[in-house]
Order: sequence, then structure tokens, then C-alpha cells
Amino acid sequence: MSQILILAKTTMLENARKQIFHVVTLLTLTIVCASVLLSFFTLGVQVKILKDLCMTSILFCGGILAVALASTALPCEIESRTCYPILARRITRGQFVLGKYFGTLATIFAGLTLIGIAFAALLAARQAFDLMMLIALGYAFLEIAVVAGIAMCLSAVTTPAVTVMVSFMVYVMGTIKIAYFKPLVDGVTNPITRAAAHGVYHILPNLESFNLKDALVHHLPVPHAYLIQVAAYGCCYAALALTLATWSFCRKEL
Amino acid sequence: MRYIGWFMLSLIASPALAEHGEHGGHTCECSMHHWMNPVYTSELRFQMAVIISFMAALGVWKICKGLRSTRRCG
Repeated sequence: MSQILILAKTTMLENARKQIFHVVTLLTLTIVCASVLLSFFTLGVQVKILKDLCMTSILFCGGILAVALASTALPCEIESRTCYPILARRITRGQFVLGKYFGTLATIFAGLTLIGIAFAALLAARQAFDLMMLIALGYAFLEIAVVAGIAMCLSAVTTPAVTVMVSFMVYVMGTIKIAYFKPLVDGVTNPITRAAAHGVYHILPNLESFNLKDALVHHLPVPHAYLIQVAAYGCCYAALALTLATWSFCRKEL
Repeated sequence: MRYIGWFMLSLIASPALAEHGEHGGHTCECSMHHWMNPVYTSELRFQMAVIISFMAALGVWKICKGLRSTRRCG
């Protein structure tokens, strides 16, 4: 356990120095702060626009960071040959993958916390701070954990460029899975294509379930059973992705 | 960098403005939210069942593999 924590800490420090982390976090922070100006044009619904824009920015920023940081975590170590002295110690490959994953998540969490504080301050200034905001942010972070797990799993198998492309596609398709992808799959008539499309449909993560933006914006109650189910689903999917990542990294010839 | 910023802002802002403009600021109730939609919950349950069974099968396979290697060595 201590090895995983040490690796996670090192990965977090390494990721925090990456340019993409600074650029995406600062851009999202700017968008969150600028959403006050944008919501000014819509009379009567400023708070709703503000919440909607901030939550969308956070989800999008988190997705981009998860894809960018998680897909380069393992290949960078292999390419720069820094993984050899680490793996020569009493650290298993599974611990190495877990350390990299938790380090990446910690970096994204630090960035999102900064944006979340700005979001909460903007809401508090309008006396619109809601406990639901914290729940929505928590589920957004769970979505990011799933996307990062998928990117980590793919990075153990393919090249970083392919990993970034495929994991971004999975992120986008998972976000629109049931609303847009399901009608397309149901409309396919060819049995072979239909079976393949259904296979892809069932493999894709259901990322839309983590999006509680509507509940936050419109003050809608979300059943606790559903929240527990989605949390369990997120943990299961991330665990599966990490298991597959560890399995393929253990078989990889370094 | 400036273009990336504008792209991100337009990508994020346009659906939000369109949605709230369309509804005129009233509570959105025209579409079923995903926590009330049975398609979402059934898909979640199905995927969770598949993942748990896969992980359980993997665990059993690992245990069996471990036992077999212990028997060979012992």
C-alpha cells in the first residue's frame, strides 16, 4: 500500500508540471469565471445558466484531463526508461499501474477542486449555494475516474496517439450513449452489423448517468437508490478497467 | 491557444444557452431525466452484472491457477 502511495505522489508531482494540465485548468477556470458575464445576458435565469455552464465546463475539463494525463502516464515511463529502476525494486507491475492511476486522479482532483472552489464562490455570492453541487461534483469526479481507467487500460496495449483518440471517442460516445447512440443501434437492420453495434453499445460505459447537472440546475430530487447504484457502477467499471490494464501491463515485454 | 479557448467556450456555452432560451427559464420537465428513465437503470444493472461476473470468474481462475501451481511445487 505504501508503495502505491509513494508512486501516486510522484506521479501527481510529475503531472502537475505538465503543460496540458496548466492550460486546461486555467482555461476552464477562466470559462467558469467568465460565465458570470455570459449569464448576464439571460435575464431571470442567471443562476441556472451559471450552474449549467460551470458543470459542463467541469465535466469537459475533467474528461480532457483524464484522457490526456492517463493515456501518457505509462508510455512516458516506458519511453524515458524510468520504469526499469522502479520495477527492479520490490514493486509489482500491478502496484505500478495503481500508483500511476491514483496519481493521475489526484492531479485531476487538485485541478477540479480549484475550479469547484471558484464555482462555489460564484454561487455563494448569489446566495444560491446548494449541497447538491458537491454531490454533482463528486459524481463528475467518478466519471473522470472511469474515463481515466479506460485510458490507462488502453495505454497498456497501444501507442499514446491511438490511446488518446480511442479514449476520447469512448468518452464522447459514452456521454451520448443512450440519448443518441441507442436509437442509431436500434435502427440497424443488417443482423451482423446489428450484433456488432449492440456489442459496442454494451461495452461502452454509461457516462451520462454520472451527469447530475439537470438535478442541480432545476432543483430536482434524485433517488438515493439511483445514486448508490451509479456509484457502485462507477467503482465496478473503474476496477474492471484497472484489472485489464494490470493484466496487459504484466504481459507486456519491457 | 486563443482559438482553443474560443472553441471550448462555444462548445460549452451554446447548448446551455439554447436549452434555457428554449424553455424560457422554467423548470425543465419536457424530457425524462436519466434517473427516472428505466432504460438507463436497466443498462446500468446489466453492465454491473456482467462486470461482477467477469471479475468473479477471473478471481476463481486465479485461485485455481494458484492452487495448481502450489500442488505442482509441493
